[in-house]
Amino acid sequence: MSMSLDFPVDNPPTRYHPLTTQLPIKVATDAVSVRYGDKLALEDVSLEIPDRAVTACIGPSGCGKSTFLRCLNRMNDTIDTARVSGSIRIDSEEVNGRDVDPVVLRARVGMVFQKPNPFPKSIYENVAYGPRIHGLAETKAELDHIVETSLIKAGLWAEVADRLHHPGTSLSGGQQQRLVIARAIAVNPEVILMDEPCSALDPIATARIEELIDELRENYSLIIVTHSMAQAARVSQMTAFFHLGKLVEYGPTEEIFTNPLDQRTQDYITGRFG
Amino acid sequence: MQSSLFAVLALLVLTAVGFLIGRRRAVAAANGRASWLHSLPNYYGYYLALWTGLPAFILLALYGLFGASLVNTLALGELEREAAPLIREYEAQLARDPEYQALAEETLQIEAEALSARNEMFRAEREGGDAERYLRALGTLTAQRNEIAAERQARRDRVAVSVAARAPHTVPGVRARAGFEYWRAPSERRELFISDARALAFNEGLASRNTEEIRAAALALRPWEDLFRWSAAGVALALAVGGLAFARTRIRAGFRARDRVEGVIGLALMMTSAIAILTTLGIVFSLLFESIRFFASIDWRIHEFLFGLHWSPQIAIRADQVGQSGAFGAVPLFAGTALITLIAMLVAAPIGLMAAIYLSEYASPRLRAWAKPALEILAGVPTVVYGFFALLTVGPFLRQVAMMLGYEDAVTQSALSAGLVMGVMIIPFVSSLSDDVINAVPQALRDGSYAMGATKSETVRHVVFPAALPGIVGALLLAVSRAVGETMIVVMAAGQGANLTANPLESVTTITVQIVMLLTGDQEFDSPKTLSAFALGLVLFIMTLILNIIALRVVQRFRERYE
Ligand SMILES: Nc1ncnc2c1ncn2[C@@H]1O[C@H](COP(=O)(O)OP(=O)(O)OP(=O)(O)O)[C@@H](O)[C@H]1O
Ligand SMILES: [Mg+2]
Repeated sequence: MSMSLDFPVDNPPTRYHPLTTQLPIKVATDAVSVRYGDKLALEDVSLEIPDRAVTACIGPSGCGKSTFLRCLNRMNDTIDTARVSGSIRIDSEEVNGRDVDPVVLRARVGMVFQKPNPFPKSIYENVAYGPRIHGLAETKAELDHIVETSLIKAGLWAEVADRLHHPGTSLSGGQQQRLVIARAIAVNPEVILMDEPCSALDPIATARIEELIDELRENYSLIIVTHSMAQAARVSQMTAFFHLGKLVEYGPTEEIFTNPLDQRTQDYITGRFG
Repeated sequence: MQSSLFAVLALLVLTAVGFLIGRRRAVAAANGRASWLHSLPNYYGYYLALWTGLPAFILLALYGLFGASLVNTLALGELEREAAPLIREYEAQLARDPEYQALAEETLQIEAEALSARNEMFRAEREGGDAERYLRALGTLTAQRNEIAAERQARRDRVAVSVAARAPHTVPGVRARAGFEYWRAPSERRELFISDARALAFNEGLASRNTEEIRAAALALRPWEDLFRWSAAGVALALAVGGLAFARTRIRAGFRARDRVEGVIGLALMMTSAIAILTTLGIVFSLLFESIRFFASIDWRIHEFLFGLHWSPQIAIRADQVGQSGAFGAVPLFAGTALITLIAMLVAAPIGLMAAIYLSEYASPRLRAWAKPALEILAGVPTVVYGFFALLTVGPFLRQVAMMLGYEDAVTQSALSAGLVMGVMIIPFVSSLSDDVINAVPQALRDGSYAMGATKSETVRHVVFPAALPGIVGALLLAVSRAVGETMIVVMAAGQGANLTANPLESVTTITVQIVMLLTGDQEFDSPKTLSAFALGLVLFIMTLILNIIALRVVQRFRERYE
């Protein structure tokens, strides 16, 4: 895939950076807007998200971060009033295209939610859920293998190996969140979306998830929404700052945090509003 | 009447005054600064009003509940005591009357014979002997006994008249005769006597007789009634004033009126739930006692009742028929109930569940907005309407279909038609409850499944349905207990024959239907036939109780697993 260099220059102010040049672009959005009924929740968002890196979305509550994330795997389809316009490409394939099956797309773009939401099934069945419905495993042994590697990748295997058939809901909050991450990577997605994955967790569980995110970066393109500036700074390579439905500023995390171009970004990361 | 009205009004006024005084005094106690008080001033008002009104009203309520019967007991007790010489004389004369004694002997003998005939009959029935013969013998014995009983009654009446005639026509004499009449009367006549006396004494409705005795009883009632009425009103007012005075002294700035009022509210709420629970207990106990009477009347052959294959409770032709009895093997009823419930659930469970899934997962909000209420209207159709739908439309249709398929014995009233229509009746019940349950499944679970790339039906099958399962099981079990308890459709559509069959095209009968059959029409309430209805009711109650317990268990197990 070729790297496009024509970042919009003035609004939003995004910058060319060596980091992005080294990595191929995974997701590119162009003038994406979302309406819920009459309400414009996201306006004209254009950005390019690199592969094998973590992109953080930050911004005050209600600015449209979750809405943006849900565009990328067409979860907004499940909301009757939501209307999405603009173009979103993953590997140059149009996500909103008429012939794209959202069900197939969602297997490629995994999602982890703010509150861990394991299914009312065993740990094993939770992870096996995706592979089963997408027919990824021919035999029981293959399925076992997928479940095991997913749990290992999610850093949960050691804790649950001996109780795979206990209910997923019997785990602690942090374990549940890692279970849900294992569930998402079991179908071998290309992009993983995480909407405030640590907001329901304590600092220790948060640290584990952050470690995990850092490891997952090796293989996936990750996009996470977070309200913690520190977390964004720790785990992400790119940062997008949203405000009132608009993308205000997008660039390498280091620069956004040390030298923001926009006054609003400056105010937000220094804690003056939001 | 007026005096109690006056007392109630006075109490209301006092309560209001209590409220005002409480408020005023609380504000005064805080030197006019309401914020110094522990509670808002109104709470001090409520506190005082409660102390003023509550004990007094409780007393009045007790008087209203028990006052009249207490007065009756006291007044008529007085009269009965005055009738003691007459009663002694009456008993002495009967004891001296040889003919009367002979009749009593004869009655005892006939009853012993009837008892043995009855036992013979049961044996014959069990062992296949000539039960008919004993039945006929029983009939003759019954007739004889009734004749003798009438004769004895006539003799007693004659003696009573002659004894009463000896009492003088003075006030004490008439009072004695009133007491004597009351003493001799059987219980329902006693009630009539009292209500006539009350009618004359207090203008409570019309008296059916107006004799000297009743007038005497009325006069005896009055002083007691006055005493109780005035003392109740007086004590109530005294309680109100006392309560007011007492509570008033307790009001200080730091007094926790709000907590006290809260306590009374809690207590009142507890009492209402206690009423609900006690009513249930009362019903259960009455069922239990009547059932015990029934089991006693069939000589404690409970196993025969529970496992017997033959149900034909004989019709009691006359109230005092001796040893009348039938076969009380309830298995055909249990089987009929189970068959119809099964058919109904086979209809209602799949259709209701799928309707619920469609409504909650697939239907657009607009469709849902009118389809759900429309389904619930189905639940509002009176069951008797379903009943004649089953009887007039479904039954004949099924019969024709069965005949066309070569089943010649098909009847209109069949288990199948009752079960099908009952199933339709239960659909909205199942769908509405399951719909609520399915809607209660967190959206986060659905989102999680969709985000994995699952389709709608996969999400429903693998995530939503298992998550809602405990609730759905609960809904289905509730539907089963509805079906088990449903009566009207079965009365109309399933027939009354107590057939023991698994063929849905035959007519069957259920527990509820038999209860209706046993208790409708003119019946006396202590023949085994009527009492058996209570035993059936008890069985029904235990069955639904067990169903509910199982439902709770299942729900709990799933909860433990998934929460
Ligand atoms: N289903 C919906 N229907 C209508 N409006 C919605 C819906 N979901 C979100 N919105 C609106 O869209 C706007 C953006 O919401 P979004 O959830 O994307 O915010 P967010 O940035 O994720 O906020 P937070 O940080 O609080 O999660 C908000 O104003 C919200 O009220
Ligand atoms: Mg959000």
